Amino acid sequence: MFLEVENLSKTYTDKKFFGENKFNALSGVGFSMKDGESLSVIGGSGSGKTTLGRIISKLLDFDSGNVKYFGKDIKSYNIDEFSCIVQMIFQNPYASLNPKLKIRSSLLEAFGAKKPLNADSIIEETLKSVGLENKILDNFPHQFSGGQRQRIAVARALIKKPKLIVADEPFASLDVYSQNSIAEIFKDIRKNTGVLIILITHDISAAVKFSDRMIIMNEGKIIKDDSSENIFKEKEDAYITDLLTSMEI
Amino acid sequence: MKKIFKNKTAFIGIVFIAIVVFIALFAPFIAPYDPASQDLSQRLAAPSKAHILGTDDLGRDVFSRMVYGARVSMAVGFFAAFLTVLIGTILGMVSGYFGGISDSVIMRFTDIMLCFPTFFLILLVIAFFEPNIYNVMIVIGLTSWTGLARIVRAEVLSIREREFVLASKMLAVGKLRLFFVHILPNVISPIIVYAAIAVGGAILTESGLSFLGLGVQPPMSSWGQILMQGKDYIYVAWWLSVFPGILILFTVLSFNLIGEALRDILDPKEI
Repeated sequence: MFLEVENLSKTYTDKKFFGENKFNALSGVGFSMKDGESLSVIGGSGSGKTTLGRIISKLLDFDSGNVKYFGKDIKSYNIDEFSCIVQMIFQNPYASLNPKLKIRSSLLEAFGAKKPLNADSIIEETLKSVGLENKILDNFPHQFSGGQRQRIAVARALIKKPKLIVADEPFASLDVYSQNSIAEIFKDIRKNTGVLIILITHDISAAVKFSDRMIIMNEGKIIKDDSSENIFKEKEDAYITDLLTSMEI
Repeated sequence: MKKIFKNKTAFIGIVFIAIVVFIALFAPFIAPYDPASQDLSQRLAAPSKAHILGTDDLGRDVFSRMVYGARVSMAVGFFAAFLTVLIGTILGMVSGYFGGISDSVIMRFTDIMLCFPTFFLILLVIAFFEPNIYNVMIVIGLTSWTGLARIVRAEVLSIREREFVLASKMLAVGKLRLFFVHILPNVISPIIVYAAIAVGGAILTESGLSFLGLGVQPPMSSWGQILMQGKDYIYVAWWLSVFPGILILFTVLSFNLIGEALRDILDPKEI
């Protein structure tokens, strides 16, 4: 099994001067992902999907439960090993690149301190795979549109040749045209490199187009986990019905 | 950089500060008299060709004293602002980046510092130690970093959760690089603005201290000190108070104008 998540719980604690506020972001979440699968995590705001994404990307600690990659606990991977397994793409392309760094420096970070001799050709190839040219390297992020920035972010994630890309609402801040082109890029890289993608989104139509399997979350729990064809067949759950109606609009 | 010269008010400020810095650097060549030499036959002489800004109660040339006073004001202003920026930035960065206990300790300490009326704290410290220009610089620097520390902390808190920092973390970028390449350059604009305004503030505080006799000690001169001497003779020798007063006003105003302009210029560029 590529990824196993068991009984995962996470509570955010907001310490106040008197007492504290607690918010259960995830409670008892469990699912697994096979190699070759494409998965979408769907839910509204506050459903815990971003928290889940950040935990499986090791950006966030969790309170209880297990997260395992290749049967090995996520906490036992060191940061270098882990960076070759999972990379993340974020919702806001405008904040995804350091505004003070040229694109070249941002991308070179993927190689760490020991830059390989063929770093330039790897970057060139990766940029080509997301439909960008080499000449963008000497520019600053503010010279690019949101769609272009998101492509650069995808390229940066791909340089490490990760096994999995967690894409947290990658289309949400983009116009329709850019949404489509990023979705096409995702499809292409999946086909060409075999990288797995977990798409975290509130947009069901994107998820339906994109993945074979869907997980629907609400209030920190998984309420449905099924293949894309089956998932909306039974409309017993009020939340799923709501989601469907909102999609039909 | 070009934008700041296009901004008229900032340009005036820069030109004025440049002139004052020039005067401070080349004081011995500009001052027509030795600032400490007394000529009792010329006591409280009104502005004339020989003494363009008049003389003080000991017959010293006010213009020469002000020229040398520019050295004190500039030195105090820049050094105190440097110290302010250094302390404020380091504490703010540590507090915001590491969080937890270091954050609590630093922020409570900042709160305590904010509770003191700074000027009286400075007075107390100066009265306790020897009042001289070095102590003045250090004490002003040590007491005026609180606002900056809070600003930097707030900026760091927001920047360290930005996606580009998270993305770099995912790429296994080291902590030092995260700190110095990703976070620090993105909090630099408020620091620059604060520094420009802090220079003006420090000059004002130095003048206030000198006015109260706790700043620069005679025979060295500073603008605040000339002002203080002038207050005894304000009815008979207005030039003793008016010229240094105007100079302090314009210098501090210039730094504030530069600070304001920098704020306008640096802010919209953010991401």
